[in-house]
Amino acid sequence: MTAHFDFVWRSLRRLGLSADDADDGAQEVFVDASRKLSLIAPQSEKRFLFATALRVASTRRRGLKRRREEPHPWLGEEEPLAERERSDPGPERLAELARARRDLNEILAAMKLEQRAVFVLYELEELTVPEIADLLDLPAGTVSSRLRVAREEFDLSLRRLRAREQFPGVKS
Amino acid sequence: MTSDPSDPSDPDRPPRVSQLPRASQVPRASQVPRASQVPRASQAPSQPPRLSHSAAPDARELVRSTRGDAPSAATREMAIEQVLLRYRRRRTLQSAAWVTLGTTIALAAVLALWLRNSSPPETQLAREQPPAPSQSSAASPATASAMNAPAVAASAAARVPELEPCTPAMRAEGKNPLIDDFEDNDGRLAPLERRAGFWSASNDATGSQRPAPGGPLTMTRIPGGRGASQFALHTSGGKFTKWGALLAADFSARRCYDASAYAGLRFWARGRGSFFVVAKMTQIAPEEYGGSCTHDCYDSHRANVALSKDWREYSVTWAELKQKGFGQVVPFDPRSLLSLEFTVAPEQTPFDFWVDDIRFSER
Repeated sequence: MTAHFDFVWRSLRRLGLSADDADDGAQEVFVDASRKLSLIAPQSEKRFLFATALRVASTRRRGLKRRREEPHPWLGEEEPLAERERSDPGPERLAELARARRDLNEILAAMKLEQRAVFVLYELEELTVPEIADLLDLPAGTVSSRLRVAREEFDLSLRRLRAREQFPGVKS
Repeated sequence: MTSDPSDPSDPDRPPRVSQLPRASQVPRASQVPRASQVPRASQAPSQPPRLSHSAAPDARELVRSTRGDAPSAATREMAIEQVLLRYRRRRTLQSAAWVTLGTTIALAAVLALWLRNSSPPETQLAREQPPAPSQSSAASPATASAMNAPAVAASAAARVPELEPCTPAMRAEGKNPLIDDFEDNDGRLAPLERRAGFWSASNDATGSQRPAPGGPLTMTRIPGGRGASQFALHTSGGKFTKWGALLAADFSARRCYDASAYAGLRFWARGRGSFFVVAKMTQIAPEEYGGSCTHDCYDSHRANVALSKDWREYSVTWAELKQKGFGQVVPFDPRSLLSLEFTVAPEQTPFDFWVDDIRFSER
C-alpha cells in the first residue's frame, strides 16, 4: 500500500491537485479501493488505483472551478522538493528546481486531462506505452497519439514561457 | 540546387508507373484488418525517446525536476492509518449488520412458527364463506317459508361484519344426521358425529313451565306412540312476559359445532300455536354461555314454526334462519353452531308442544 500510495499521491499532484488536495484525494482513492477490494482483479491494483485517481482529480478540479477558485491554486505555492534533492540543498540549485517545478506545473495545467495523464505516466512516471495502455485501458495507438499531442503542447507551451520571460511585455 | 528527376539515385525521385504495385496487389479497404482485430501488442508503435533523455536541456530540466517527488512520511502514514481505520470500522459495521439481519430473520421465523402453531386449522375453515343459500334448499313437507317466518328488521347485506374465527370446532361428517330420537330416554343427544349435548329447559321466570328448569330433562312417552316412536320432547307452560321459555341442547359442550355438511334441520312436531326453531351460533351467545359475543347478544337465527294438533314433519334450511334484528348482525354460518333450541316468545305463550325425531337434513 505504501508504494502504491506514493504513486497515487504523485499522480494526483501531476493531474493538477494541490498538496493538500492530493493528501485528501489519495485517502479518498484508497478508501474507495478498500470498499471494492473484491472487485479488483489480482495484478490490476495499479490500474484500478490510477483510474480512481483520475476520477478523483477530475472531480476535485471541477469542484474548484465551481467554487470559482483558481483552477490550479498550487501553481504559486512552494513546491515540496524531492527527498533526494532535500539531502543536498544548495541554495542556487533549490531556486532552479523550484522554478522548474513551477514552469512544469504551468505547462501541465494547460493540457487536457486525458493528454496530461498520458504525458505524466510516460515522461514523469517513465512507464512504457503498453503499460500505459493497460493502465488506462486504451489501445496503444491511442496512447501514442495522445502522447504525441501532449509533447507538441509541451514544446509549444515551453517556447511561449521562455518567450514571455525574455520579452515580458509581449503577449504570446 | 534542384534534384534531377531522371537520377535513379535521388531518394526524392517519384516512382515510375511500372514500379507502382498493381491494383490486385493493393489490399482493399475491407481486407485491411480493423483496429479492434489487431492485437494490442502489434498496434504498439515504437516508443519515442523520453524527454528526460532526448529533449533540450531546458525541457529536460523541467521533466527531471519532479523525480523522486513523494508525500512526506507523516502525510503518508496518517493517510494510510485513516484508510485502515475506516476499513476496519466498515467491516465492523457490516458484521454488526449481518448479525442484526440474521437475528431479525431468526426471530421472525420463530414468531411465524409460534403463530402458526397457536392457531388450529379450524381458523382457516371459519374464515371461508358460508354455502350459498341456493345450495341449501331441500325437499320439505312443510318449509319455513310456509311457517310465517318473521323478516329481519334491516338488510344485513351492507353491514355484515367479518366473523371471528370459531375455535376449536367439532365437525359433522354428514353421514349420521340423527340429532336425537329420544327413544333412549337419557336426556342427551344421540352420540353421533361427536355430538355430546344434554337437553335442558329454561325460561325467563315470569311464568310456569313443565318440565321445570334446573333438573335433568326426562323424555315424555307419547300417548299411543307415533309409529315406532315411543318417546319425545314435551313442554308446556303459561304466560311469559320477558323473553319466554325454551328447550335446548348444546351440540358439543360449549364448543363450535360445524354442521356445514348438512343443509338444515328436520323434525316432527305437534302442538298449539307456534314456536321458533333456533340454531344458535357461538358469535351470538355471550362468553358465559360458551359463545364469543360481547354486546347486543342473543339475537339468534331462527325460523317460526306454525304447529298443528297432529304430528307433522317440518324442514328448515339454513337459509331460512333469520335474526330478529334487535342485536348484533351476524351472517349465519353452520360451521359455528353452539346449540339447538325450541323457543316460545311471550306472544306465543301459553304453549304446549311436542318435538320428535330431530335430525339434520341432508344435502
